[in-house]
Amino acid sequence: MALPESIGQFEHVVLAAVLALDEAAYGVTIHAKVEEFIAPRTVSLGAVYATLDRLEDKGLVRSWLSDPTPERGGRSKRHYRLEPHGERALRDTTLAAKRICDNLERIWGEDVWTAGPRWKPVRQS
Amino acid sequence: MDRRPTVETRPPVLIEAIVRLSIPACRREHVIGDLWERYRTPGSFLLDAIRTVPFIVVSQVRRTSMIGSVLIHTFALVVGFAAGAGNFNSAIAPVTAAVVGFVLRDAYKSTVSLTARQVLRDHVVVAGFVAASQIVVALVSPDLLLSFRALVGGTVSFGLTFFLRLQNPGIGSPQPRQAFAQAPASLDALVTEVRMHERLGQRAIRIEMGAGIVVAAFFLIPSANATNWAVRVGWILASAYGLYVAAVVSRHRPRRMPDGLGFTASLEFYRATLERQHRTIRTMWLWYLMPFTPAIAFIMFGGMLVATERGRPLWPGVVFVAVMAGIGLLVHRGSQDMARKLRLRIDTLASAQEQAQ
Repeated sequence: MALPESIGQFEHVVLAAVLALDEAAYGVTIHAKVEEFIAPRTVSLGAVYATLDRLEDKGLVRSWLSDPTPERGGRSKRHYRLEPHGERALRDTTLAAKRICDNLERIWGEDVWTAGPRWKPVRQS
Repeated sequence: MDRRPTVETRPPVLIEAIVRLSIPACRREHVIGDLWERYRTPGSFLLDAIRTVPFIVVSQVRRTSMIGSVLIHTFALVVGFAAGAGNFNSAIAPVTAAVVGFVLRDAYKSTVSLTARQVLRDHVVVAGFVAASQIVVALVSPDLLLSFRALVGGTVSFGLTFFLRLQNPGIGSPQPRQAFAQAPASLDALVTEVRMHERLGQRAIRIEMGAGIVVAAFFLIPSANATNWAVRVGWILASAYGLYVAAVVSRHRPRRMPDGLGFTASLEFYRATLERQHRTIRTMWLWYLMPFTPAIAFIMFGGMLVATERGRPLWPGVVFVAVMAGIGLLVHRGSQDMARKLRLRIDTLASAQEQAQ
C-alpha cells in the first residue's frame, strides 16, 4: 500500500482551515482561520497562498474561480476544497499530533491545556 | 452643501495598477480581489501587497520552472555566449539575464506557449532582458560588452532553446496534478485532447529527427579534424548516434485516432497510445542516453592520450565527462517526471473508461 502524502506543520494548519470553512474557503477567509488557529502568531496572506499552491500540486486540495462580486471590485474568488487524499492526509497528521499530545499530557499534567501563561517547564535549570 | 469627509473604499488607481502588474497573470484576478476585500487605507493596501506578492511570484516560479529545464537552458546559453565571446566573463551577464528572463516570462505569461509564434514571443521578451543587461554592462564595465561573435553564439543558443521549448511545451507551463487527474467531461473534450496530443507529438518527433540529422552532420566536422584515432572514432560514433536517434524516434510517431469513434472506443485508443508513449519515455535512459556513452568514452580516452603526450592536465576531460553525465541525469529525471504524469493520466482515463462501461 502506498504511504499517504506527507505534509508539513503549516500545511496541516491550512488543510484544517480549508476543512473548517467548507464552502466559504477562499484566500481571505482561509488566512483569517489560519491566524485564529495559530494565535498569537500571525502569518502573511502570501504564505497562505504559497501553501495552498503546494497542496494543490500534491493533489490534496482543489480550487476553482467563483463569479465576480462587486465588493471585491468585480473580481472572482478562488475557492478551495479538500480532496479525499487531502482529508486522509489531514486525519493521519492530526492522529500523529494527538498521539504526541497524549504522551506529553502524561508528563505535563492535564492542566497544561488551560494553564496559559501560568504554565512552567517541568525541567527547570 | 455636504462637507462630510469621503471615505475611500477602494485603493488608489495608480497603486492598484502597479500591484496588479506585479502579480503573475494567472493569479491576478483573485489576489487583487482578496487585497481589495482587506482594503483599509492606501498604506495598508500597499503593505499587504508587499507582504503578499513575493510569495506568489516565488510560488508561481516553483510551478513553472523546473530545476532541470533551468539548468539545460543555462548550459545551452553558456555554451553559445561563452564560445562566441571566447571568454567566460563577458557571458555571465547575458546568460544570467536570459535565465532570469525565461524564469520570469514563464511565471508571468497568461497562456501556455504551444505555437511557434508564442515560443518566439517568449524569446523576444528574453532578448529584451539580454539587451537590458548589455546597457548595464556598457555603463559599469564596457570591456565586458558582447562582441559580434558572441552575439552570433547567443543567437545559436536561442535557436536551441527555441526548438527545445517548441518540442516540450510543458517547459515553463504550470502542470498541476489536478489537470492530469481530471477525466474528460465529454466526447468533444476527449477528441480535442487527443488531436492536440497527436499534433504536439508529431511536431516533437519531427524536431527530434531534425536535431538527430543536424547533430550527425555537425559531428562529422570534428571527426575529420581529430587529433588521434580514438577521438575520430568517438566523433564518428557520436554522428552515428544522431542518425540512430532520428531512426528510433521516427518509429514512435503517434498513430492518428480514426474519426467517428464513440466515447469508450476513443478512451481505449487514447489510453493505448499513452501506454506506448509511457513505455518509450520510461525507458529513455536505455535507448536514448546509454547509446551515447561509447562516443563519450572514446572522445574522453582520445583527449587523455593527447593530454598525456603534450604534458597537459587531465582535469578538463573529467569536467567534460561530469558535464555530460549531469546533462544525462537531468534528461533522465525529466523523462521520469513526464512518465509519472503520463501514468496519472492513464489511470484517470482507465477509471473514466470503467465508469463509461
